[in-house]
Amino acid sequence: MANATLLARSELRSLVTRAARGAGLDWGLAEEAGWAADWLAARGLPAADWALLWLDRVGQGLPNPVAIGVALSDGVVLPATPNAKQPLPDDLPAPGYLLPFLHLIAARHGAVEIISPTGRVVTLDAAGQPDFGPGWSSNSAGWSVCAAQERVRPARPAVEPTVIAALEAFALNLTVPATSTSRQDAGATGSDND
Amino acid sequence: MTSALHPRPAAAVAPRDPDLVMRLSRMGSAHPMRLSFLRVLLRRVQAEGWCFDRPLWQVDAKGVGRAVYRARGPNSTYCLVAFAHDLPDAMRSDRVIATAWDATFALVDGEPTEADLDRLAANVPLQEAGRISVKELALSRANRSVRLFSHVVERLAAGQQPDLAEMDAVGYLMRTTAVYGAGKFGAADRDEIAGRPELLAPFQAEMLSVWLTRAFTVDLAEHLAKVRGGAQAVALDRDLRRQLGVGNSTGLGMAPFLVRHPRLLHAWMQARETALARVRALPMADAASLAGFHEALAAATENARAWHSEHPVQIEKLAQLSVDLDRLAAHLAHWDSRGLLPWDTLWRWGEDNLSEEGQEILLALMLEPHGALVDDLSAHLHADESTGFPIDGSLSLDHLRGLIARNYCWIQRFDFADPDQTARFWYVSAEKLEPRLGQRHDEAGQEREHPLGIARAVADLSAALSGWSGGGTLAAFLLAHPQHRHTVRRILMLAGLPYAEIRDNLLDAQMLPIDLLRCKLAFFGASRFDPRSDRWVRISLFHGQPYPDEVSAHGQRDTLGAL
Repeated sequence: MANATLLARSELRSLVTRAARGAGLDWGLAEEAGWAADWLAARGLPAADWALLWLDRVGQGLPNPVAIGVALSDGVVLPATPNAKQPLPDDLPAPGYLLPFLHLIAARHGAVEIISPTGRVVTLDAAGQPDFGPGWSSNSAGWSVCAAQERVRPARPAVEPTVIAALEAFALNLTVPATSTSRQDAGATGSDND
Repeated sequence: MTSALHPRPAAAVAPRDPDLVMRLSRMGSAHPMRLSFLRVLLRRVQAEGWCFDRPLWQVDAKGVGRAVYRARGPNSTYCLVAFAHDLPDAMRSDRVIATAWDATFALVDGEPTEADLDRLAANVPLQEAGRISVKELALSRANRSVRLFSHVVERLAAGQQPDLAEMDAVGYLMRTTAVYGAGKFGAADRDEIAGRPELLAPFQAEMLSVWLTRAFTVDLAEHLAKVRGGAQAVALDRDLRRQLGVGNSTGLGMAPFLVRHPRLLHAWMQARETALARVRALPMADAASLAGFHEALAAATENARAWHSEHPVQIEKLAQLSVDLDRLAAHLAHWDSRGLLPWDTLWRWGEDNLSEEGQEILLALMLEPHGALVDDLSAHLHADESTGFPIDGSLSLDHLRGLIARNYCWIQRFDFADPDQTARFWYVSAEKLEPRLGQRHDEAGQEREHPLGIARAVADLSAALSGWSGGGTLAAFLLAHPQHRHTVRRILMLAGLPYAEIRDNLLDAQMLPIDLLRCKLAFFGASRFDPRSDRWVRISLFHGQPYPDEVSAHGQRDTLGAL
């Protein structure tokens, strides 16, 4: 990234809009592509890189995340019942490009999420901050969109024992080995039975 | 009509009908006025006591080097960094294809460090081929008026003042050929700076940049005169100096803006029309306002005398303007300024007796003495253009049909089966990446048309809705007809914004792009509108207005001669 050009967000939005139109999207969808790029960039996500991944496939008539995202956010295929799922294409390029459209749904209908066989992919609430889960990847195989399941947020962090042990091993570096003097000064040689 | 800008309950006069205001011929008769953006800037810097100085002047005997002009307001400091170049005459071009200019500029947010100056020196002279950063607010360039610049330098070097007729004929020492802001070429995005009061109104950074550029053009001429004339050289007379603006040469690139920024267009128009309605609603005309009106009329008459053009359309408009100003001056002898609603009476007389050109100058004149009544509207010239972007697919198609029936009935004036009414198409040239107008029936490329033909797009959408037998929601319709998504969004976004659409056909064979240019440039505050064809113009900015050193109470200028 040393030679990367720092674009203004409006530049990126304009560039992606024009590129999307040039790739064959109708003007309205191209505008949506530009808007989504701005949304992603505002959250530090690689909007331009992702756009390039799916723009390459527009000319081949393959699914792209803007068309899918617009169909979802327009409400055409939004699951009507709380437990229903809307499957996504398995080979959706740059599936992260769906996030801005999921935010639109979340703003209107409450939090939504993408789930996959390997776990929760991502959750979007009305504030639009993506919460990525263990299923997040660049491969959309088996992904479905659904209303966000109410998850019980653990009051305390759950940490694997091996992780705790590894952290404690580092923490031990802060301790000093005991000596007979230190034990004595600490009162270890005396008796508390007074 | 929204009333948010119309808080005066006694107002008995409604703003003008959008069907009247938003027509190309009337927009192409617009004049600069109190709410024009450069006037907003000048009022602010005067009211807030901004300080101006020139902390750096490193320009050699050939007029090559760099300078910094600093503007310090109560909240922020901005600096114009100017680079002066030695440009061979053969390379001087106002077209976007030019690769070198007499001078190049960047407006910096804050004060530039030495490293900033070096970075800008490596990029600003390249203009579109360079990059600026989030620390810059505007990028621009200017070319000399060779004739007037040489004349002024020669005269000042000889200890004489320039010839008034020469000054009048040109009106500027340099003309900008592009002023970029709002994220262009890496500059700060609009939403990064719009929260500052001094930059809230449109194009304030660009206006500040051009205003400081005007000071630079005079400083450069005086500098070269001193180099040439030594002790004999004199400075430009301050009254003469005021007669110099900054020229601007602009073409089709500016025209699509008004179509692409409809919420902004609505804000501008609504502010202006609200101002007019407020003045018309005044129950009486006080002595100070009457005096101010007569003073403004005299200035407009003088301006019309000095306003020249060789374009047939503009020659006719200027002739009509002179006739109308004479007619207005004659009518004032009979105008009952002590009667009920005197300004409304005058306005109604104007509607019956003046051309569009005359009516629009009357609007500007009526606003002029009423600053206390209308200047607050400058706070309403901006718009949040992100509002309403997402489409609510659950809306019914009847809702959409209703919006079209209420807000776009004006498209029924057009017959798109007539080839003349679809004769043009807007596109961006591959060669120069600038907006162009093509002949649809004669030239290739209409499949790459840009969506500026709003009237035809709405007509096409209406036809598709008529033939639609699917479900009743917008979502289902758009899934089957994604080509109408752009138009649907626009219709939904602009509901309740009556001045957002230009109520004409921008594809028509007879459409004049200069009408779009004049409307936008009048809001900038441009004067001396001089079309060179039906699609590019020259104008002047800040003509007759003060210089930074005339509004600065405490600013310090360095002395010339640091060669």
